[in-house]
Parts: sequence; structure tokens; C-alpha cells
Amino acid sequence: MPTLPFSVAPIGPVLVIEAATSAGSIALLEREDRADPWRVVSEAAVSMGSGREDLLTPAISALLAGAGLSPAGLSALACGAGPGSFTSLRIAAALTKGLAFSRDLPVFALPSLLLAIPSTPAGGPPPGRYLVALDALRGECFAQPVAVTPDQRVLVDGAAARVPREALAETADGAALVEIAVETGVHPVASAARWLGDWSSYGPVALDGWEPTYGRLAEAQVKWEATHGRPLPAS
Amino acid sequence: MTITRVLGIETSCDETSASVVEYDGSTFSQRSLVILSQDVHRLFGGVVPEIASRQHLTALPPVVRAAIQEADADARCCDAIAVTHAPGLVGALLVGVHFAKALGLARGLPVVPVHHMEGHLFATALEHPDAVPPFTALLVSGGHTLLIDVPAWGEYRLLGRTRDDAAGEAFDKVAKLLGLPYPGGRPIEELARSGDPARFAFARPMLRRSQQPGDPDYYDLSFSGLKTAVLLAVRAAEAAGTLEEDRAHIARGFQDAVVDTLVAKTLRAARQHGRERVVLGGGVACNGALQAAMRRAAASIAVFAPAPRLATDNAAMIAAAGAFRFRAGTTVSPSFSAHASLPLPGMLDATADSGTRASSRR
Repeated sequence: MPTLPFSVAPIGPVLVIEAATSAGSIALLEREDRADPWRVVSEAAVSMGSGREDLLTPAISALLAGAGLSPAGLSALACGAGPGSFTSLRIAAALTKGLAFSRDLPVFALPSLLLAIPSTPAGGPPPGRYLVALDALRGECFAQPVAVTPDQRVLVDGAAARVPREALAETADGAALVEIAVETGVHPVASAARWLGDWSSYGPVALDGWEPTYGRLAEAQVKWEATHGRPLPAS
Repeated sequence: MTITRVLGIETSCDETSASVVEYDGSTFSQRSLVILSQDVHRLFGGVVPEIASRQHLTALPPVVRAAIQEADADARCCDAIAVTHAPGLVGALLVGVHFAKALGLARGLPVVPVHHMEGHLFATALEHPDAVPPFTALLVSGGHTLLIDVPAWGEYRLLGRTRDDAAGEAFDKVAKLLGLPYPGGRPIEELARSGDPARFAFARPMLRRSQQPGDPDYYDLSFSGLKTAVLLAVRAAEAAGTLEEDRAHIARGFQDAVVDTLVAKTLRAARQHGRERVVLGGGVACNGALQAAMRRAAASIAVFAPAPRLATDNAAMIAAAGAFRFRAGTTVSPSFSAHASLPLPGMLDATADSGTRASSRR
């Protein structure tokens, strides 16, 4: 893990890579001072469906080039930390780790569901309480309570959980339900990282050991642990 | 002579590996090799793809860092990065491919995708300077069994392959039948040492003296029938109450059948194509009985087998193959990805003249 050049959040430019769903996205953010709001330098959507995960790296390369930057010019990286599609999350994380490894950059792991609150045309997510839900298959959803403060900071507002789809409304308990569906355009967006405050809650993470929050164990592991009544030993 | 230095990355199955290799256009020099084996899969009796993929993601940074440090280098000093992109577990491959792409992007280095089986062809040359083309290659592992004629690096004729189970897969399945742990290669070899070769003389699969070049099964292999024969022998021994005393004999009979078949088909290929060298690769190439039998039967043909670290999945062989491809000027799209299966690059028509007697199949 690199020696951190700062003890609090970065200034920029920062590359954000988000791929909790097949609708991947990337963004370059920067700010003049840690007290300033983030400014979106540029962003791009990367459709990774149908096995087109290969598009993400060229898109990052193009985004950096378009901003007149190379990876050497970045001050930090941020990665959507899940939960979501196992493979998509890993691709984003592998790219993030490779860039961070090469350039000794700190990595911030941003909860993906916090990046899914739709912004208004006027800018920024409307203040209020939300429950962001992402299909977790087998009739379940990953559900994350989220609060947007009057000054438009997006915060975790309770523990994330995997809940039955039919229990979403009850779990929301009056909060606005944001259901992630790539087809309807509601999905985590990298540039929404600008609404997550100073990121100090999300990193820097230890590069070697960090992995996304997958939201589920591998099925074989679930069966093994059920059979043996104990956690799977570390490899 | 210009030296090309390549960082190799391998994540096709359950080994996370990185290596730095140098290549001067004729000889490969291994500067470092780090392999992290994911032992957790032994608990499942086979590799669990999702667990393998997750472990690659956390293992890659320390493994690559260790390989670079062991080579007394840094990523800046490499000319290229080579990474396995096929065949293998797609989820596992994707981790290595994207980590490598990020290294390349961050350092302005080209990233060379390498076919895992082509890597195995280069593995032995890392420690045996004479294990270079032209040669006949037998690649035998838990996922593959291929018989390949190699007239030159980058030019390959696929002569034969298994029609069902890979040789290593057969070892694993028979080990399970005999109550031995996974992976089964080494336990079977150890048990077979005390076995009587005459007690269970299993038929040599797809091997007949009457076979002629051009016959569809002249080079091909098959192990599922042999596995069934072992199953029947185990059941019969169980019924007779003799399984415990017969286990070693059954293991010996099975191993002898596999070895005899692999040796016969490999030497057929070498003689048919006029090759004076045989190169073994893949995890099953570690089997001492196979190596000994091949050398005994090969007569004037030199037999090269890699050390166990280079026989099993490793990044040094990927770096070596990548160094060759890089120097050969192989052009690569930056959007290359991972594939569960993909033909070996540089395939020649197996019916083309190999310089001596031509194989007449495929």
C-alpha cells in the first residue's frame, strides 16, 4: 500500500470507475480545495452488456486523453464498491487496482447504490430519504437506505441488506424507492460520486486486501458452510 | 543483442502468478516467478470459478509486486506485459486481463494477450535451452490433452486431442473412486508405486497396432472408457471385499494404461514428423512414470520435461510466449478480452508437409 500523501480526501483530478451493473460509467472529478464541491471534468457511459466488458479500458484511456491527462496526472482513484454484478464489479476493481498499483495512487471504495440517486435537471439529487434497490436475483434485492441532506450530500442512512422483492415497500418505510434497472436508465453513475461529501468514510482502502462488496457468497461456499457448520477456511 | 523484458500474469484457473522473463531472440531467461496456489479448492474436489475469481483479485497486487521485486526490477523497466486471455475460467481470466490492461495504460506499455496452451509450449525452454522447435509437444493437464507438432515458435499443427476427459481430469476422477484426495495426480502416482502392473491390465484406450496415419483416431486420445473400466474394477473389488488390498494395483493399472497410450501416440507423432525432440507440458507432465516411460521408449529422440513449477500453471511461460509474440510484432487490439476457449494462434494445416512425412489428417 502506498504511503498516503494526505490524511483526508483528495482534491483531484480523480478517476471514478463504476460497474455494479452492465451500464458501466467513468468520470473525472476535480476541485480546487477540499472544502469545494467536486466539479465533473468529463464523464462517459460504457455499456458492458453482452460480454462487452472489453470496452471499459479504451473508454478510460479516451476519457483521460480527452482531458489532456495521463494516469500519472491523477491524484486518486475511486471505484464503485458494489453490491452488484460479480463480474462487472471485479472488472472495475481489477482496473482500479492495476492503475493504483502502477502509480501508487490511493483508492476510495464508494458504495455503488449511493451513486444511483437520480439528479434533477437543475442539478443534484433532491433532499430526502431513499431506499435504493438492486436486483439480487432469486427474488431478492440489495437494499440500501440513503439520505440526501438539504445541502445535497448523499449519505448512508442505515445498514444495507438483502431483502425479498415483495418486502421492498415495507423496508422503505416511507422513503422514496429507487429501483435500479438499466433498461429504465436508473443505475449507478460514476459522476454522482461528487455528491458523496469528502469521501473520508470510503478510503483510502488497503489495495491488496480490498475487494468489492459482492452482496452474496459464491453458491458453492454457501453449501459448504451449511454442510460443515463453519466458515470456509481462508485459502 | 537487444533484450526484451516482459512481465507475465497468469490467472486462468486457480493459480495467481506473475513473472519477469527476458528474451534475446533465441534464449529465455527467467528473472522471477511467483505462484500463489488457491488451496481452498481442495475442499470442493475441484475449482470453484467464483471463488477463484475473487481470490485472484486480492492476490494479484502482492503477487505482481513480489515478482517485480524478485526480478530486482520495476514495472517501468519492462518492455511489455503479457497476460493469459484464453482458454480458462472467464471470470478468473478477466481479473488478470484487466489488471494487466491497467498496468499497461498506467505505464504506457503494450499488453500482449497470450494463449495459455501456447504458454505451456514455451515453459520447458525456460530451463532447457535445447527444448526449442522443431519438436513434438504433449500438453497434458486437468483441462487439456493436446498433441502438437511445433515446426517453429508461433507455428503449430494440432495432431490429436482427447475426445472426452483430459488426462489430468481422468487422474482426478480415478483418485476420487479410490478415495484419494484432489488433485489426484500425485496421490495416484504414489499409490501406484506399490501396485502390481499385472493385476489390472486395463485396455490402452484408442490405441491399436492396426491404426495408420490418416485414421481419425491415429493421434486422438480418450480416457472416459478407461475411467469406466476403473469404476467397474472398484465395484468388483468392493463386492469381493478386496478393495483395500487392490487399490494400489488398480492405481498402477490405470496409470500404466494412461502412460502407455500417451507415450505411444506422442512417439508416433514425433517419428511421423521426423522430430528429434519431444517436449512435455502441463501438470500431468510432472508424473515420473510418464517421463520415465517416454524416455525409455524414445530411443534417439530427446525428451524434455519442465520442473513442476513450470509444468503447472505459471506466469513465466506466459511471459516467455508474450516476449516471443512481442518481438515478432504481433499487433493487438486494446479491446481484447478473455475467452473460455479459443484456438491456438498460429495453427497450420495439419495435412501440410512438415518437412518429412506429412500427417494426412485434419
